[in-house]
Amino acid sequence: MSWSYDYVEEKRGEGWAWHHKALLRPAVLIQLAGSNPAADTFVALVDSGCDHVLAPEWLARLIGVEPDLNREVSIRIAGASRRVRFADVTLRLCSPAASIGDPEPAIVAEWQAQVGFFLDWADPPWSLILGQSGFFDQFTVVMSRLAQRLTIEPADFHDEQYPPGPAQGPPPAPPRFQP
Amino acid sequence: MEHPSIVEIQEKWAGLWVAVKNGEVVEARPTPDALVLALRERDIAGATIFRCPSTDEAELVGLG
Repeated sequence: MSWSYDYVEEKRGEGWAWHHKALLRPAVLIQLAGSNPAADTFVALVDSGCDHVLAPEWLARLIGVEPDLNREVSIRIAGASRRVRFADVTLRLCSPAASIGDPEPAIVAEWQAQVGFFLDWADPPWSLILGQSGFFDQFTVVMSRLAQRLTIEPADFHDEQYPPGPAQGPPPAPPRFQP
Repeated sequence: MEHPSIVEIQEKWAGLWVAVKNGEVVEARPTPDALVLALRERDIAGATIFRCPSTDEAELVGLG
């Protein structure tokens, strides 16, 4: 089973008229569940360069999660060092058929992850960032700017397509000179 | 009636956090805290929440 999502187009700011390419983000709709019933959905940036799932602290309050005092660290993000406190959260991936503002989106996957909540960054540009630990370790994520889509495959999809082992292709040539 | 796209919403509500439900913006506030509070006061649940960048802010090219 796999799910393909169109990239989400964002409005470009001033000064980009010369660029002629749309600003497209790999993003999906996510619900988070804490002690409050999951109801709202969030447009989450799929960010392969980030090692964690991250969110602002207001989102923890909204879903009824208390970040853990014993799991507080500093991370460097968006040019600044920020305090982050983690909590265990249930994440739900909305179906590609779900649209922005769909009050009852179909859920296609659910998993647990440690989510880091910013203590000192109230207004980050995305309400949820899906990084390596907590998202990319749950699925194989295929992104194509050319296709303008991202596809989420089962976790073992990668090794099925690209089995681990020796590199493919001809063996390297022997050295021309012996030391 | 066709729902507005994210780009159309971002053009109209630039600089604000918005809540969209059934294709329409049901709340828009300058901060996410204010938005969540307004949604609670109006007993609105099941919205999609996201931020609309200001027209004059630099484009985000990476968070790391």
